[in-house]
Amino acid sequence: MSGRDNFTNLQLWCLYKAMAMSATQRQEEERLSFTEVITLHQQRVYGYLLRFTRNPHDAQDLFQETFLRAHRAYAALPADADLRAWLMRIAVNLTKNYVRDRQRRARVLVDEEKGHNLDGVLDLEDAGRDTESTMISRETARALLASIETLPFHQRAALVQRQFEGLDYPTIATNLGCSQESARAHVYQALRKLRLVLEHADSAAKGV
Amino acid sequence: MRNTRTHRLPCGFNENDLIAEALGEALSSLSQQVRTHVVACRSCAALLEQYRHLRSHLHSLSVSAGDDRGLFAARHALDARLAGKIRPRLLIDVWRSPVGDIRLGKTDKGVVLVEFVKPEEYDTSAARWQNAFTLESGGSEVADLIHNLEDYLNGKRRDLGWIVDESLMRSDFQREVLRATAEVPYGTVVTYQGIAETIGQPKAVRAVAQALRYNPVPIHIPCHRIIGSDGSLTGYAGNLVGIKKQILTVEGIPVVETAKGLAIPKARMYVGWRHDRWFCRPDCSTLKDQPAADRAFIPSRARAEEMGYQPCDECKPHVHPLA
Repeated sequence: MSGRDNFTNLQLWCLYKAMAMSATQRQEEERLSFTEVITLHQQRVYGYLLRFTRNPHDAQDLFQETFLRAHRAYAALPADADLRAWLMRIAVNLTKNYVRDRQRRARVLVDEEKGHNLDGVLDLEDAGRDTESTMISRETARALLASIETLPFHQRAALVQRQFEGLDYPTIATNLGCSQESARAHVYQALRKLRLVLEHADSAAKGV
Repeated sequence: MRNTRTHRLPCGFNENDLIAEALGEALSSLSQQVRTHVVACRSCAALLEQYRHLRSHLHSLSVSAGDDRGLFAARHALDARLAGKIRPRLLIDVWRSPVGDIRLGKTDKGVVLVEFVKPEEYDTSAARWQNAFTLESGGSEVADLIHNLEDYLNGKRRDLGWIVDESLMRSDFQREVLRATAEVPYGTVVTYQGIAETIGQPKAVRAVAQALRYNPVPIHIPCHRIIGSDGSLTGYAGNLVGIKKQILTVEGIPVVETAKGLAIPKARMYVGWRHDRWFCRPDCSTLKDQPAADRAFIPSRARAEEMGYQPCDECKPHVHPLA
């Protein structure tokens, strides 16, 4: 007996209602103006950008850029597209460019200043605020944040979304355009590297 | 839950399982397995501890979104940049009606556009709206409007009951004129002078006529019910006075051909006092002091009574009806 034969009339009716409901909801969404789209998704997009860049000014710039790009393409977007995922993909791509541009700029600066470290990268003002029982020293925090910045883009983006935003792997996967397994692998790979940094920082602290 | 690639430790254990446990992502069976293992394996116990530390370090390093000031600032700047760019959606369709082809347009806010179009100008005249709107084919929403309009032209419906989006109205003056016009009831006629006086600008008769010529939602806002003081239809949407005649006929208002063009037969219509709700014969002596704003032409006694108008005591139109 196939699974379908096992449905009672009531179940079929519920299923039908659910399908009809989701169709009307889609139609509702189709009618969304672009301003409404912004309002619905701005929190998520800004949250990602702020946690990725750790810099409100850069986050605000990228936020505007994300929605300006989205606006250009909105009319051509299929009506059944997942708006949240689509916007996050744009934001993720912009952070990718952002990293690339910063690295390019950094190389120039490093050449000029013989390896002098860059300003503005670490915003440690908040790092002292201790929400957990473990204390984190300024040096360790600095070392961890610096190595997050050197992670390959997907590892960094996945780590930010998992550890700083608390998103689940299916969501991260759609945002990054990869499989769930890859999303998880990116996070774990990043954590393995960061653990080495942590171990190194701890032993350096003990050595002194 | 295992990753596709495993990371074997010297003891043979998978490092990813330790990470999963430290993150709290391990299923209970795996979690049990890890906890049993670390009791025996000291290096794995140390590793697990480090991952737990790392997790809490990262937690304390996470940037709090804090208040929404940063987001508000970004949104504010974005809105300013988008202000010139956002074009509302316009659902649009042409209906080949008995009185000619009519294009209907609707936004999220309401009916924004009713225009008479010629078939050879479909594309060019639609392109005109592209700067202000993102055009989309009308669908069921515009089909509903067409249905309403069809009922109206068949005399089955007197009030279209639409909500209007005023965004194509050109000025506050035009809005005022159109709102005053919207007050003129079905099956009655008021003069341009009357509308000019209603909005408190008795000398702006020509401006009123221009405002009505560019009425973005004709038929729904009944600019066809506004005529010249001498009773002539004057014009409609430029050069479409023939349509004005057809629409007035639908509403039961007689239109005749005169030497000066199409006109209503004023001498054969009752005159209503819009404010006090009386109606008179056109030859009534009380009418010489009647302000134009108060004057409405009504085709029949039945229509006057239907609107709640009382017969005048002076000329007694109920006793001496018009022929």
